[in-house]
Amino acid sequence: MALLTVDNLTVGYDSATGMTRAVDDVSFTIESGTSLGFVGESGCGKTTIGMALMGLLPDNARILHGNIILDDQNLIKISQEDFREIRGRKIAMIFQAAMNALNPVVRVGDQVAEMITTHQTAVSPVEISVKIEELFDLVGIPGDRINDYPHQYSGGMKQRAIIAMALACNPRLIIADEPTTALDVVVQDQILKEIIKIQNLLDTGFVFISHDIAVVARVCEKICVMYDGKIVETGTREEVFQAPVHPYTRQLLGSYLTLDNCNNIKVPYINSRLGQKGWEHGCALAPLCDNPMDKCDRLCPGWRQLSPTHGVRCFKKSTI
Amino acid sequence: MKKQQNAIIELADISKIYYQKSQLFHTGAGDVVALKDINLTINKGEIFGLVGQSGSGKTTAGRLLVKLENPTRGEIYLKGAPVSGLKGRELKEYRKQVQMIFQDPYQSLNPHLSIAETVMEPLIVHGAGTRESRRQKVLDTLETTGLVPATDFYDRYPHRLSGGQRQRVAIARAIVLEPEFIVADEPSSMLDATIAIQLFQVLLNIRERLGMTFLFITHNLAAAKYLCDRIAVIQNGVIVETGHTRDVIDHPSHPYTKTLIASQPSFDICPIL
Repeated sequence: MALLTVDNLTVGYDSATGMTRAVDDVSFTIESGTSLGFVGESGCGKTTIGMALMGLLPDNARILHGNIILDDQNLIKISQEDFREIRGRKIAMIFQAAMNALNPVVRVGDQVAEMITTHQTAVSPVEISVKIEELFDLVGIPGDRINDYPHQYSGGMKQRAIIAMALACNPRLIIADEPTTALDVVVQDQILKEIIKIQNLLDTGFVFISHDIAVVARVCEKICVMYDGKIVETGTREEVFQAPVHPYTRQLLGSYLTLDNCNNIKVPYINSRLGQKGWEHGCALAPLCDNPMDKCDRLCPGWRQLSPTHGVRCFKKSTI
Repeated sequence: MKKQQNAIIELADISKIYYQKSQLFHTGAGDVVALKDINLTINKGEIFGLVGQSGSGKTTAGRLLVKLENPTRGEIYLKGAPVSGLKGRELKEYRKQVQMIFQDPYQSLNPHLSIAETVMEPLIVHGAGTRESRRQKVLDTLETTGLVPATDFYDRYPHRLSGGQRQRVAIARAIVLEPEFIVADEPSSMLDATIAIQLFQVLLNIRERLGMTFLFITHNLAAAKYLCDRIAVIQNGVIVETGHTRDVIDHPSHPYTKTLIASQPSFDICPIL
């Protein structure tokens, strides 16, 4: 039984021009102790998925369709009060801007303690302080820094404190939305190592959202590549990164600069109107494709399973 | 030396110290040394990379070069002429020669100004051209940065542009006066990889066509390797290694450079632990 099952999730935003679909017919599952990564460019809907899982969608967003089932409980159907019981205790989130996610006038240790007392009323002060020491040790903050204020922390330490907070109530599922985006490469590397260590130690499910494919490749066993609200390719990290099938995945990988590929980087085709095409009339990616077929402009490609784990939304049998 | 004759920008023994203000007796404790004895020469047509972590002083160096701040010690030379003490018309002329592209395109554009007004403002401030020629200059510059067709963008406001398009507008604003030298402070760090690589193409294209010289400030060594002719690695305000980009990255000699290289993301998908 999967820890989390998401079926045909569709989320729309009310806008002046009608309903805009930010997440369109997205399905995936996560087992305990495994991690799933969402990659895609800004605006592809990956953060909206995270917010839907947390029950924190803004007021102008609506879940139009689909189910989110966590441990036999359908999160679409429960009230806001019940959701408050689940948030923090069963699902926790690591937010993007660690710099702004901490209260500047409360000591960091007390902020983590608040997380525990809010969700677990029957814990003694001694138990709490033991738990906090454990958590800070786990995320690699020295014990003598527990009573510091956030401004005394560096960016990396703030992000560690946010991770400690997310882990405070032993959640079943952790959603990390761009947890390293504001950090420089050296600190990013340290935080990713910390996250991998925690994944190995705990039996928690991870949803990892990032626009940085190399970050997702490091921490996730399974990957979903998104474009304009839809998953266009999914598979294990070996399948997606070593044998990508969808032209969009190949473009994402081909345009990512590493130290080894500076000479054969592929500059993606520039098309400022691309974002407006949508999925109603054929494949949204047809204008970006190197070699589209005639029907790509008329028909929306369906899902094609290449292996039990590897699937792709593209008509082409092979693009190699 | 022959190399010196090509120098556009020279930093000679530059130090920048931020003093702690609220002390009764100044003890020096709490002072922050942002830059310490920096010596750099950037040649005509070069893209020079300044690479380091957050807090290493690389942005401070950029701010000194555009004279948003002044160095505590040392001297900056533009084409051999010292920059400190410039005032009035001379300072204005310097600003015309040295422009900056900031990191965050969501904060560096004025939301109340249209794209045309944003890019035209430097021309008006410096009294360049006539009304008609300015309009044409703005359109040409927008095209140069890849905002094509330029007339589509001319009357738009920043909120209707994506991050990548905004950054192109910021580049257009920086190059419209055809400066000698541009400081680009992490111009791609807020952008997706696909957009960043397109932006790099724009910078390379500008260098090719207009012969401008760049200081490219970044924490991303791969971006520096792609774009820069030479780089300097900076740690805690001190330049620890400098040289041709490939030499530094392929054969790093300083341990800090090695740390930066090891931290660089790659598709090495084997778990580390």
